[in-house]
Amino acid sequence: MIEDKWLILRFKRGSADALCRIYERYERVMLAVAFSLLNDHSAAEDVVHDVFVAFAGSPEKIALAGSLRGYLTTCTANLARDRCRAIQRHARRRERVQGEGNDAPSPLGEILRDEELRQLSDALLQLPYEQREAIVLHLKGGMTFGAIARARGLSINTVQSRYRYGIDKLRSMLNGEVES
Amino acid sequence: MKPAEYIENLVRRLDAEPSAQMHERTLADAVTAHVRASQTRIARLLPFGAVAAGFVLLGVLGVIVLHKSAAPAYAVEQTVAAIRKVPVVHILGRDWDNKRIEMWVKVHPDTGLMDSCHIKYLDDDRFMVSTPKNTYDYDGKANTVRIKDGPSVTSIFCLGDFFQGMERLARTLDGQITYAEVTDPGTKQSMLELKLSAPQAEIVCLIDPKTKLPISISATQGGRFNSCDILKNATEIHYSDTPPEGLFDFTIPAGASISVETSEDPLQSLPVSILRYCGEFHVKTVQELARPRNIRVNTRMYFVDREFNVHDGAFVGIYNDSNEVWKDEIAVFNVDPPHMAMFDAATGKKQRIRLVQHRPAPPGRFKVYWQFEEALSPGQTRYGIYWTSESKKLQGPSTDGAYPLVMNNRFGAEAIENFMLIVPKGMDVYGWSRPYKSETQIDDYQVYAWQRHLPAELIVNQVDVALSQPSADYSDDYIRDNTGKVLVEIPEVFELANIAIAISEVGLEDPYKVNKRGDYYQRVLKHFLPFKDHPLIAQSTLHHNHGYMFRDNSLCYAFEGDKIIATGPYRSIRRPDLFGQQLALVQDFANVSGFRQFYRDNLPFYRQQIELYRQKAPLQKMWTWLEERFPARHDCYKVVFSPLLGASHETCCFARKGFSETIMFVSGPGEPGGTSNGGEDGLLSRSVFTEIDHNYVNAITAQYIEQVNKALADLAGWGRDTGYESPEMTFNEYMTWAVFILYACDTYETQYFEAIKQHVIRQMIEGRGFIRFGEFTGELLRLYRSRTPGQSIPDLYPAILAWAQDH
Repeated sequence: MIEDKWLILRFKRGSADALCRIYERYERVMLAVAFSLLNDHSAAEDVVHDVFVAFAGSPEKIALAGSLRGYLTTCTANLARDRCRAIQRHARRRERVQGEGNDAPSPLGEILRDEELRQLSDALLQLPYEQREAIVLHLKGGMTFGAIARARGLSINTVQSRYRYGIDKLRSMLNGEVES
Repeated sequence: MKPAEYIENLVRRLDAEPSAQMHERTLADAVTAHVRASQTRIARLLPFGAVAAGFVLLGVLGVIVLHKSAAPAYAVEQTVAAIRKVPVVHILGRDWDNKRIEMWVKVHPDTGLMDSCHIKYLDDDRFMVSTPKNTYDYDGKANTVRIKDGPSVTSIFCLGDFFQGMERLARTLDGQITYAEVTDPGTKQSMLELKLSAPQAEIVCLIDPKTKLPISISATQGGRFNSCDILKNATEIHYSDTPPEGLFDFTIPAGASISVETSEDPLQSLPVSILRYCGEFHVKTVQELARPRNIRVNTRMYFVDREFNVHDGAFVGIYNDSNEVWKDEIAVFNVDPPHMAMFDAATGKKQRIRLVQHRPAPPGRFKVYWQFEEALSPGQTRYGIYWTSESKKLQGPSTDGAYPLVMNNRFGAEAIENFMLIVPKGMDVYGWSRPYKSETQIDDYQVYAWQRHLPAELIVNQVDVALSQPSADYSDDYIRDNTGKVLVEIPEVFELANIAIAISEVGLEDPYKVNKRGDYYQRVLKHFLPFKDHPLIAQSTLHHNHGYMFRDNSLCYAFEGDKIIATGPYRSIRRPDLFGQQLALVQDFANVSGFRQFYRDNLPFYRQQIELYRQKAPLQKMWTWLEERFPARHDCYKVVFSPLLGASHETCCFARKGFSETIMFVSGPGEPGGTSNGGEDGLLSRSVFTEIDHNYVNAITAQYIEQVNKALADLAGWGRDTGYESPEMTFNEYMTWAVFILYACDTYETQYFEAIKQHVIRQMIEGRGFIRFGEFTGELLRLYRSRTPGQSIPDLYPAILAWAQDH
């Protein structure tokens, strides 16, 4: 978007106001991407925080080939990938605590708006990370398959395959849960 | 099993709410990181050898340029403190007409600002003396003296104000200020060079690192600003010269004729009703938003005339909340620079003011006292608007016709600030960096208002907008030929743009943006896919939202012979004109792909499509229906479509010379062969109707904007991943689609109406994420069916908004 280009130009020239506007514009989509990949709200917030602070601190390094939205969501996905392993460990610990009879509502429960989305979120977590990432970057990050392929150094066919397999698995998983 | 599209939509709706703590923490840490990065960048620009000599100077000036939102007032105050020790500045240089001048500036010992000034034109028998009370301009040849109130607009020159103005100019022009160590070619001494560099301006100051004072200043044309309005080059600046006796006193020469001038009124062409409107907006802000919080309201005004001259000013409201009658004068605010005029907001009459330079930071500011002609009794309110006496020409136009305007103010206390932008009707205002709160038409002007709640810390509140000439300019013939008509077209260049999008990566991948059903799509692929590696097709301008700016702007162009040229009546449909920017590539694509022959071969099909469209979508009927139920009136409907156009509809409306045309970019009627029934036709009508009725609904929504903001305050409760980011935009989507249901109710047989209604509800909820559309449209339909005779749809707004707020 032309407004993005304007904001980036002003941000690179030192405008804190432009920086704030970029954040306000993309905070939500970055958080949604991080959350979709990590399924942990506080970890997702940390990812968004770290990505954006790094972004703010290095304006001279930013060279946009595509959209600002794509750039920020790719950075978010990159960091989320790094954090994924730690989050999975954290999630396992939480499961154990909940299994021991802790009735406190999980952060997840506070965030998800309805049962169907909760099921989807759980199902996403069961996908291989690469498939989950392809789905989230395409549908939540608004990136084309070509842009994802370029960002990940993959062929477009690979990205499309991952996406298609992931969607098929989600269909299967969600229909299974509904039926049971 | 649920289809893949259902799962995809579900993923799109997956959302997470940012916590307030996260929001604040991230913003605070990001701004800190940004400021640190800026400081590091500036430090790198200063060569190491210059650090020792320039250290003290950087202490004085550095804060100005380290970060634009840092505390420049503090830095400038220190600059002035350094200059304050210099009682008189003696300058030799040239003015902006390249005439040699000698200038003496007496610095006020308390403020560090210009107290008096004497300017002698060395090549003419002319000199000017500016004092705090008056400015005297003496022409020796004619033996005339012109006397103006207050210090001269053009003789304001003081170094503190100069540096502050330079920083302001850099921000306005998107330029930057840098330091470098240089060697003075004359003295061979090491100097510090302070340079403002912007695309259309440059100012260079050489500074002596020992005295920390400027020794020369040079500016290019674009670097002209208030603080160096008279001086283009200062080739010599001396700080220890003694001025001749009586230089700053002016005695009227014997026999000289005298003329007394008053400031020009920049508001002559502006109706008083606009001033009243701005006044009411200001007062409403005070009463509804500021007073409950016990904070101030600041309303700044920007009036741009047809020649793109901008006059800026501010609104002042004085309420006598005491038990005493206020007489004489009252201090109203501080200004910078001081050349300004005050007008009564109710009558437009010019007011008397007194300006006093004042000491508190930031320097370079003046306290304005409003001198009343009539006393202000207890409980009375008086409103005024002050405007700077001189207008500034906006720089432009840029390659896409834009004149950028920066509206900004530096504020250090919690307050609500309004920016009011007044432009002649028809001038395009677009590309704003922050969405406006309201837009209103008053007489022949549009008034836009931006509003922001400012925090307690010092910040720069800024809104950047782009202005341009009207987007459409209708000839008298066009108006005569098309008034009252419904036009349905598949323009040739528009079809070319749609074909380019259809074979692009996004067009091929996206299941919705391009209509892929039917033989025509296959014909397009067969003919044009071999050219999909053409450089035009890889351009990002064809993708996503850019696609609108590429596709829609193609309507401004047509073939003349085999050449694509800009034609009337449209200058631009959406800014920026990404089609025009790619015109060379578009032309090449059309040539190498044999597009014109393809278009000619398919002309019978296009004609058939247009005829089918007219049959299936009764536009005249919709037009009549809407104008019987809404106050807006349009003179011409134009439907522009392509058989390739999928789910990417758009509408716009242009009004010039009293002629209003609404244009809809919509999908086609589908290919012939299928049986037609009311249900299918209804769905086709939906696609165009929900674009048309934006031109009727949006204006009514704007009148109820506060209720809309309250009713849809919890946006997440009204939509999921809809792409509409404000209550107003979201409500307009609800309303335009729901109004179509009302139209369908009046138009189609019950069985078709029910099918259409259910389809539209499903599409809005599942396809577009407007999760409460079923309830909303049900309530609007109930209100519509039970309306009293004479009630129109705008009359239902209060009830539907009350319902939305309560549910």
